Amino acid sequence: MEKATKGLIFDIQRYAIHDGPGIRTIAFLKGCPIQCQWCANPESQKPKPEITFLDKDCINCGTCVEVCPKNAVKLDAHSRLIDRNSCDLCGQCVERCPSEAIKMMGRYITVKDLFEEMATDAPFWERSSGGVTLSGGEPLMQPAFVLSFLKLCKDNYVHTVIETALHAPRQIIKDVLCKADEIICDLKIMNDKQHTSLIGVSNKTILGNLSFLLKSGKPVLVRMPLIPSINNDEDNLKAVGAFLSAGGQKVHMELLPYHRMAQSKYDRLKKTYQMKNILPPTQEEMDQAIKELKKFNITMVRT
Amino acid sequence: MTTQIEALKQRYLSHTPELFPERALLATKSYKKNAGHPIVLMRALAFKDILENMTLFIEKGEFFLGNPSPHGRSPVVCPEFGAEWIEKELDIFAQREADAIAISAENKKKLIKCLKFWKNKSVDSITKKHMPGIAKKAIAGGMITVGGTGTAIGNIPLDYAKVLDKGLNGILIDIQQKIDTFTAVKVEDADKLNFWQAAKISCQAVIVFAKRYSRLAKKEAKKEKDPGLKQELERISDILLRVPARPAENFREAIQSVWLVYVAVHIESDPHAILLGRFDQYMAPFYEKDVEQGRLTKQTAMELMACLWIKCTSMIKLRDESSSKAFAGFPLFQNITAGGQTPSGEDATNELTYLMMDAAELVKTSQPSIGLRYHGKTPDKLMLRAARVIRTGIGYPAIMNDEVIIPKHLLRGATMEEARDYCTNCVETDIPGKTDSRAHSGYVNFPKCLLLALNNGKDLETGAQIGVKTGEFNCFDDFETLYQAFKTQVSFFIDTIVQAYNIVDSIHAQVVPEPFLSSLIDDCIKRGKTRQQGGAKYNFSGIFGVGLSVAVDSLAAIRKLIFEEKIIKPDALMTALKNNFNTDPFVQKILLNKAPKYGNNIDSVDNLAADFTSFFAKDVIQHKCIRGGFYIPELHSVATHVLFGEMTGATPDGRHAGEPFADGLSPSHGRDKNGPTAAIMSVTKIDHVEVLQGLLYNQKCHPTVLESDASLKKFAKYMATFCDLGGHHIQFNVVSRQTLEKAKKEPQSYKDLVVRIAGYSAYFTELNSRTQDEIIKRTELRF
Repeated sequence: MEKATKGLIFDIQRYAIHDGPGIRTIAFLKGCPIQCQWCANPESQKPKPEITFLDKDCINCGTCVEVCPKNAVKLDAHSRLIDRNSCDLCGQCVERCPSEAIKMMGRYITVKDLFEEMATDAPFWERSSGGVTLSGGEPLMQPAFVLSFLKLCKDNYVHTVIETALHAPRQIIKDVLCKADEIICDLKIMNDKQHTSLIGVSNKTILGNLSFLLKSGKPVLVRMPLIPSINNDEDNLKAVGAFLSAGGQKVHMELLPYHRMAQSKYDRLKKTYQMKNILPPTQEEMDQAIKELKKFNITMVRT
Repeated sequence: MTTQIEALKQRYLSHTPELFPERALLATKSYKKNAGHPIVLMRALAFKDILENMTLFIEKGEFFLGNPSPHGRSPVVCPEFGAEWIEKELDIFAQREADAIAISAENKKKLIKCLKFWKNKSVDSITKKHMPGIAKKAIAGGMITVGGTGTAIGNIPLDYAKVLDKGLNGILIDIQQKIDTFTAVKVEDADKLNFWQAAKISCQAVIVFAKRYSRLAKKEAKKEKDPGLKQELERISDILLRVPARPAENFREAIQSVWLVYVAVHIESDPHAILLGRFDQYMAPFYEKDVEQGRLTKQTAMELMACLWIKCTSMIKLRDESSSKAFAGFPLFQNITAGGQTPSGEDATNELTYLMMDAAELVKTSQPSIGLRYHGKTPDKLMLRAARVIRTGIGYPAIMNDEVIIPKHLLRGATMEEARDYCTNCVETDIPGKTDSRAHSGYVNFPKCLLLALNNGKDLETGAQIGVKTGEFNCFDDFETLYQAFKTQVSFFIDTIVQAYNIVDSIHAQVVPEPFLSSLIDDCIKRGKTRQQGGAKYNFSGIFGVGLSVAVDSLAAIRKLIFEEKIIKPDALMTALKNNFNTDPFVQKILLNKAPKYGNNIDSVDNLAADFTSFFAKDVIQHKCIRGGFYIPELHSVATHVLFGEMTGATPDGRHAGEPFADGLSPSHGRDKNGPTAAIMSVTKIDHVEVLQGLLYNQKCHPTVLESDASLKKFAKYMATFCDLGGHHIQFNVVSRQTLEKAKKEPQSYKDLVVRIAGYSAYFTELNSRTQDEIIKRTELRF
């Protein structure tokens, strides 16, 4: 019952200026069907809440050990561990931790509550012709919640944008995604074999959905993270250009330079960051890629 | 930047701040010579002697002339105001941490000798003698400060339009007419004649001052080899023969006239915040006429204005050590107004409004900062232009909201036309040429008032009974009782400021009247009263509340954790506060993390901020000024949030002893975690209209927020939304943390780094390390 009426989000960000028109408020939904190695929001991947420990904030007061009904917290001067097998995510340690060293990533929220929490920014939306953006994670993993949220926005004349990786059944694209006012979607690697090995799934569904969207006439912005040695080779760029211009429509595209600002998040989740050796693209690499893409019928934008 | 402007900036701002005693010596000599005259005449005669004898200089390549001191970056020394403290601190000026200032051994000797004359005569020694004991105790305990005790009082906008319209000659005619038609009806009426005589002497002296500059320019022109500069100097010499005596005929004359009068006011005494007023309004007729007749180009007008910015920044103020920390960066708080409405309610934006932005962006100096008046009809284009200037990181323009401020002036007694014509005065606002509003009459330390309420009026550190006995904390049954006790303490210290400041106010009237400045404020001439005697049409005194966020977060923590959830016992809290949380980090963390914080759009704590502010505002306006008018509240701290922070122990919001408070009505550092829009929602839950003087809100943001044109447009709308929500003032500090940290380490490489601190801009590298740290710590909002 809870899952039908509530969505799982892990953050709300205010004064977002790069994710749709005007000043926007973004809800980040938790759970993603694909696992990119460069993911900047690793806390978004798992479709369940997670408890994280930030060692440097811990004052060793022992409250978490005391309150845990499952005895899942182990704490000494040097290490702080939560046994994820016995932890049932009851959240008591989070609630009682005085120093915010233990945090729950992800919370369930109703459509109405989420809307109300975001709509405190309504005066900024109105002035700037902004609105709400659903991002993630992958919003389309929670289609019923998203659909009902979009409807509430529409009833309140609030502009909506969804950011998606498009790895979802076509029916959800038609019934849910297309109900948003604008769509921002990802495109990463054209070579299917490479896509499968780096992201864990084939890109067939994604490309099929993207073709469908481009033809649908919906306002779409295609975004590609530019990652040196992963997807900035000429072959990939040419394939991207050819694919996007194949339908003959004017396509808007933005290149996002890969960054490593997520590394601390990986540490916090006790996950390994696999891209340590890859550097962000240089300005020349960015310019080169843009030049390559501009050879096709593509409008390159910068938000 | 044009090379001439660049060179002028380098020449003026490369001077090391240095003290010269010339003005002090001339004033002393004059006072000795004229002893026995009524004070207002002695002041006028001293003013005349200084203007006729002081050393003048021309900085190569400047477009108009006038400096208050014999060198750039040299403060005016007024022993009439401060003699004791200057003598006492003379040896530390060059060594002190904030605003170090050089003085040669010879000049030091001369100054010491002349300061002897002022013993028991200067404002600082007289106020010290008459300061009530209760106020002395409160000042020593870090509860309040009292303004004007050793310096002149500024924050006053002159009537430049009148000077431009009729010239000082015209004002002299008005004065003469009053003298000629006067009939005394009261015993004290001779005061009026004395004032008019003094005003006459002063206006004539300023005309002579202009003629001296004219002669100097002519002399320099003869020597000048460069034909362009030679011609320029001859032209300046001609202009100074005509203005400010006569009405200005064109833009060049107008800017020279305004500037010379502006400088003269800074020689008569040493006030800060002599405001430049609505520059784009009073200068517009001259600009438009000249451009139409082909005498002036946009570019030239902009360069003349750039020169105004440079010359303003070259003027600095001498302060005592404690004030130099509180007001670090030598600021004179010069403020200039742009945009807004005409007296009839139309949009007042004109070409000069934009040229002001261009000039400021070109020279990037810290003074004068621009207050940009925003209202419903302000063009989007102007807001975008403002955003671009903000992007440079100079910290201004600050956005001032007409929709909130005009109603305040109606409540303060102005007519609708006057209210629409207000000018900015730092974050304060006033009706130009008609108001003596005495900002900085006193500051009250809110967080320490709360600490007193928790300890029956005794200072937690010293045990001294400096506040009211409001009862023991552990006997308070509920939060409301504590809240009342807190308000009682605040009320008591407001009374203390009023008692002390009214004495200061009266001393100024008797000891240091300003006949020249008073000639430029209505209705001084009409009433025959100096502004110190209440000659201004509108009179106020401002009381500033400091540390709102710390007080409110502390109250919210006590309400939730002690009275509602009972997680912490009163005694445990008091022990933790006394030990500065050293023995109990657990209590500190709970206070920090388990209670709501102002600045996150959480009603329970924001409403407390609104309720308390309303109490403060209502309390302040019940007090009367001795000049007529009443006290007005303000939520602005300039830099006293650092000073008071140093003098305040640990607080129940989890703040350590000695840490600075947040400035103005800004949320506490790092506590507004819910994004900038939520912070604005919190801040605007307070009724900004009820706080009849200014409220300061400072947001720091990373330059990336303003990187692209698209993001600039959004930023302009963001500022507009703040105004829609009823905010009085907002300003932005656009720098990266790395930049600031680097600047702290390598001051040499960042001399031009301008940073906004609480209502004024200063050069970052001239600030003391504590203030630098405080700026670095200020929440870097996740835009």
